Amino acid sequence: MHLNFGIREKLLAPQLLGVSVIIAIILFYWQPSQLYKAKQDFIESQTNLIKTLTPSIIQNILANDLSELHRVFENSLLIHKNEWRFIQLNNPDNKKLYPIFSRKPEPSDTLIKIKLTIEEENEIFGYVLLYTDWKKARNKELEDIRLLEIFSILLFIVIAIFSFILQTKWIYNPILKLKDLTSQLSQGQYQTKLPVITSDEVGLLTNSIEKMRIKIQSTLDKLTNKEKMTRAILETAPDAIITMNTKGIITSFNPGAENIFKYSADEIIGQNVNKLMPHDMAIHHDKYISHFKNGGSATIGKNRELNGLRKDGSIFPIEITINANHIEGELLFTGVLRDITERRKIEKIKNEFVSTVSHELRTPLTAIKGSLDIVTNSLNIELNVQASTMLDVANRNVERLLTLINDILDVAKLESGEINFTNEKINIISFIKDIIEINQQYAEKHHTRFKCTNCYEDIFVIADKTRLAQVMCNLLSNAAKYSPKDIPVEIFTSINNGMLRVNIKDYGKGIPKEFHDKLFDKFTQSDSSDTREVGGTGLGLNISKMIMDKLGGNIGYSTIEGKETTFYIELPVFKEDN
Amino acid sequence: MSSLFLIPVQAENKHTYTIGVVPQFEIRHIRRIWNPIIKEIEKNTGYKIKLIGSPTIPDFENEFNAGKFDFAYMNPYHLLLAQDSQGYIPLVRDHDKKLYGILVVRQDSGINSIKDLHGKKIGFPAPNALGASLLIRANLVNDYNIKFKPIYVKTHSSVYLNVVVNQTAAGGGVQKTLNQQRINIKGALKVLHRTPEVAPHPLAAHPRVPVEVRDKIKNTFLLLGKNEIGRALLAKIPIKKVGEANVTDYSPLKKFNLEKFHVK
Repeated sequence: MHLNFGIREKLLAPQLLGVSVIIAIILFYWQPSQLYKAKQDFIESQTNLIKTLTPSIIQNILANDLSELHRVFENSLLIHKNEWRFIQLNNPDNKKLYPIFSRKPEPSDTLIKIKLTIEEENEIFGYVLLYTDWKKARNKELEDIRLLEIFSILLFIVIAIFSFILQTKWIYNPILKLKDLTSQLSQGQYQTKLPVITSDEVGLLTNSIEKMRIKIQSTLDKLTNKEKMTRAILETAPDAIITMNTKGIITSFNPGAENIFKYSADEIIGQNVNKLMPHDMAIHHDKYISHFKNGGSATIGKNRELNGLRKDGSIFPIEITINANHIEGELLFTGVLRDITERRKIEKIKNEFVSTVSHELRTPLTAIKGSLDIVTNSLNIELNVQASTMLDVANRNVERLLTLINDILDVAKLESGEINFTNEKINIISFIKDIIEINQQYAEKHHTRFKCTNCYEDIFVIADKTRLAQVMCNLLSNAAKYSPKDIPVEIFTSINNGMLRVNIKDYGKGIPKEFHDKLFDKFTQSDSSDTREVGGTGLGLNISKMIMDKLGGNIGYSTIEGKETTFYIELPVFKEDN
Repeated sequence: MSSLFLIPVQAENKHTYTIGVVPQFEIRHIRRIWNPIIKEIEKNTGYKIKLIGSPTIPDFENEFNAGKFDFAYMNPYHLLLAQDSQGYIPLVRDHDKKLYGILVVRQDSGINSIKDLHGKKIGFPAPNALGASLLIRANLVNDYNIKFKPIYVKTHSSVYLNVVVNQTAAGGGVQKTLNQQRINIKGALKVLHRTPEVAPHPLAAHPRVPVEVRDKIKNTFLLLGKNEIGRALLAKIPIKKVGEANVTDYSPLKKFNLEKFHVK
């Protein structure tokens, strides 16, 4: 029930109700019941009075002395003239013995009729009928009751008033004061201290609110400082930090961004972020956003390299990370990006250098290898053991060097974008079977084998077959290298969200935690001490990742240390209507 | 030993005589009536007179039968008894009214003759009350030959009330007490029958009292009846008109054969 009353009225209400109930009880229950009791007492006392006459009534009836009997009644009427209005005695045959001539009085509110049988030792001598008036006794009783009533009601009213005054003093006034003080808080004035006036619950409440006020104030200070710091970072950061809403409208644009894109914040805020992208990217951008809103998050939190569009229309490479946040209930994207034009230039120079050096190294190395092969295999020269061992070492190291240079050249080509990809439709099951066949010998060399456990039929992807094979060969050879003896490496496929996943699972000792983050970096092997044991350049996974990125797919893994490792690649499933 | 006191004593030329009064009223009342009269007698005769009270009528009867009193004021039937036992001699009596009993019934009772009372209850004050009981009962039995059930109700008032409330069909009383009842009681009743009249209460003397003493006392009473103050004193006895009493005055009473109705 909602009462539109103040706390003081609400405190008063039960007291008023209580006093009303008490008054009602006194008036409608206690008073009538007291009066009823008094009436019963009166009747009892009157009956007892008649009973005191019983012996002389019986005596005179037995003596037939009606004269004395009449005298007894007349005397009694005289004695009780205030109450007794009429008394009658009938004999056991109900014949009237007294009085002879007087009549019964008219009935009235206060007239009480009492009947009493005059008997002794079970013998009935007659019946007395008394009309007695209890007006006087009732008035006396009423007077007493009224006095008590007035006293009680006054007492209750005084108690109610007194308790109301105390409630006002102890509860209402402190709450009122607290209300005034807290209303200042609600207006944002957190500096005003709340004095604790009482030590009761209101005091505790005040104390709690005071603690809250202090906390709010300190949080507010911290927030202000944090905001200042954030602003300082935003303003001084060389990177562009741009926020936009789900419609692609730019909501903030820091000085770093101004510097990179050559737009001032004022002119770009409120514009669509497409303005900062070259046309071929801009046309896809809206799709990315709606993809994200529908649950996809492929681009969120990842470092990507894209192109930006300056105000003057020039296109430049950028590295960008996008994060999504809900701020005040609104989904906002924050992009942190930097101009990587310079970095690209340096990388290009580096790649050209690596490419050139590798080519220059590979040519003589190929010649050396050819020579070594001839010496080892084609010339029928008897070599002593030492020379033969030395040739083996030279052969192995030349091969290793060639592999390394090939890998480095691949990396350089991939990074510089020199490799052209020729995409075609690939039936993945036959593709996997071919790859397994090619690599089965390698597996046997490592005392294991490849086993296709669960591969979907008739699934097609679009990819460069040679490059995809390079990735698969790399993953299979890795698995074979790390697989324990005689336990096959399992290859199986799965489809999730329109992406085909090819899994390669070995039951080796897994990948230590410390390598998880850098597994796809250049020159990484899970344990460098293993290098000699298992071989490899440490560039395979890096190359695989770059190829998968170029193919528009993913590469990843899951591992349980000491138990198993599963590497996978993902590519969109090809559908005829795509 | 009591007989010693019964012998008249003469001391300092003054004889002391005793007088007994039938206790129809309580003794204090009797003393208030008789003391002024005794004073007059002592003044006139020079004798000393001593009033002896009897607690009840049977005591009084026993006492006069034993000759305890020199003089006694008694009812007519008592005189008959006293004559027989001790030879008491009546001296004076009231000559105003004779004594008779009345039988009352309710006005609306429908009883019109004594015969109607046959087999009914009749109230009387006491068995031996002369006018209200003995005379009536004797009269009804001797002269009307009816049977009835006597109810003794102690007082005359009670007799009348019992009739009024139909506890008894009729009641025995005397005219004087009926007249004293409240008007509504009296009005509710009617007198059905009066007994034959007899001479009222006499003052009698024991035969041992000398004749001159008897005469002196008798004369004193007659003297009192001759003046206003004296008459007022005697009226309280009650003797309204004092006169001599003779044995013959009481002989008609003998016809009632009251001894048959007297309850010892």
